[in-house]
This record gives sequence, C-alpha cells and structure tokens, in this order.
Amino acid sequence: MAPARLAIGLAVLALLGAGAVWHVAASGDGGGTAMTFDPAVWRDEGRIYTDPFPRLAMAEALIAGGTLTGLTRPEVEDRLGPPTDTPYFADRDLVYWLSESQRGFGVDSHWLVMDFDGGGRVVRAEIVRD
Amino acid sequence: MNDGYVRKGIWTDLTPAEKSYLIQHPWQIDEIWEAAQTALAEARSRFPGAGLHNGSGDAFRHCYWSALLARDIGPSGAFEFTTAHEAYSSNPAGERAMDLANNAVGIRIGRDNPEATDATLAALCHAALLAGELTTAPPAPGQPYPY
Repeated sequence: MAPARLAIGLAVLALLGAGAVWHVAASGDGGGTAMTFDPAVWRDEGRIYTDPFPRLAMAEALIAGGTLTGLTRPEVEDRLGPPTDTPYFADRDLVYWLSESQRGFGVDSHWLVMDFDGGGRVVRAEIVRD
Repeated sequence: MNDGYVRKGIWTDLTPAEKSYLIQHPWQIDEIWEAAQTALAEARSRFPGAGLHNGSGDAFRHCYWSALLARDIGPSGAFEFTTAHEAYSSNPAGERAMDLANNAVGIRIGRDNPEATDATLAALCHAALLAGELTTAPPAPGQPYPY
C-alpha cells in the first residue's frame, strides 16, 4: 500500500473515531445512553421496534449491573417476558431480540442471549449481533 | 464514558477485517455507511414490528445492503467488505452462513444491475425473497450450510 494512501486512510479513520465519540457524547435519551430497566417499556411493542430501540440500552444496564446473573428461567421471564421465538442462536438457552444495528456499517440485529448452569441459573448474559 | 456495548461507538464495533478494509479504502466509507442506513430504513418499511427480526426481514436487509454495495463500490469490494463484516469469532456458523448466502444473492443483483435505482434493487431483493432465493433461517442441526 502506498504510504500516502495509508496516511489518508488512517486520517479518515481518526476522523471517524472522533465522530463516533462526538455522536456518543451528543446522544440524548436512549440510542446510546444507558437506560434503567423499565419492564413496561421492555414489553411495549409500540416502542421496542422503533428508534431508539430502548431494549438495547436497558439490556446493557441489566448486564452491567449483574441483574440477570443467578436468576432462574422463570425469574428471567417474569422480568423480561417470554423470549423471542427465533431459530437464531439455537445453542443459547434464552434469547431476546433487542434492536436493529445501532453502530457500525452493518445491517444486523442485536440480541440478549443467556446461558444457564447445571443448576438452572443464568451463568452468562451478553449482547451479541446476528 | 463507560465502555459498555451501546457506547462502544463506531470504530470499536467493527471487526478487524472491516477495519483493515476501511483503512485501505477510506473513500468508500460514506458509500458503505449510506448503504447500510438505506437498507435498514427500507427493511423497517417493508418488515415493520416483529418483522424486523424474523428471517425474512433479516434476509432482505442483507440482500439489499449487498446489492447497493455491489452497485456503488463494485461486486469485488462488496464481497470483501460484507465477508469481513461476518468475520468475528463469536458469530455462530449457521447465522454467518445465512448472512453470506443472502449477501451473495444481493451482490449478484447489484452486479447485474449497475445502473439500477435504490428502489429497483430493493424490489429485486424482495422478489428474490418471494421466489425462495434468500435463506430465511440458519441451518438446523444436520442440515447443509447454504454457503
């Protein structure tokens, strides 16, 4: 790769990174801001499929707070409702759709996935994309 | 700023292969970004509500995104970037195969229609979906992968 071309690429990416930082700093409620879990909003089908896709920020808060770890399946479903009916992530124990892509250059969805230990309690909860 | 998933930002959400591609093709950043936003918006319109996360909505998004990229940055670049997008270790093999298969259909549509409008490419991907050319679910255990 020509040095000039590499320099241009790195400069553009530096600007892109700066833009991302600005975007995050400037974002308001939802869509990039941690959001306290609200079970009514989580289950509100009039809101969860539209921007800013509030489930994503709420899931981040749940994971950051360790809220899901150690819960049983009934306890999770009591809080989050029934899991999403999907063939995706078939090797995970519990799956909730969160949002369409909010970052990056792709067209994926973000999902909350959980695994249970031998005792039937959540041992791992994470956000992944398909 | 915390380092949580939502706040990671654009750069940290890219796969290493995507970063490598963008460093080598910085003049395509706008087109790649716009193609994704156009595909997401079109999918929201065609597959509202829970349709966003069903297999058909996902298949259409990947097809249309790839078709736009093939038209705008060329089939080779579209193939390279969309493949780079799937190259991360936690991507389940079945979901990756599904996405790559739908990307391939989109790249063919974009390659074969280099002068097409956005609306035409969207219609062609929707037609491909209705014709059963797109993959709408990851392969079940024991099934062959589509790509």
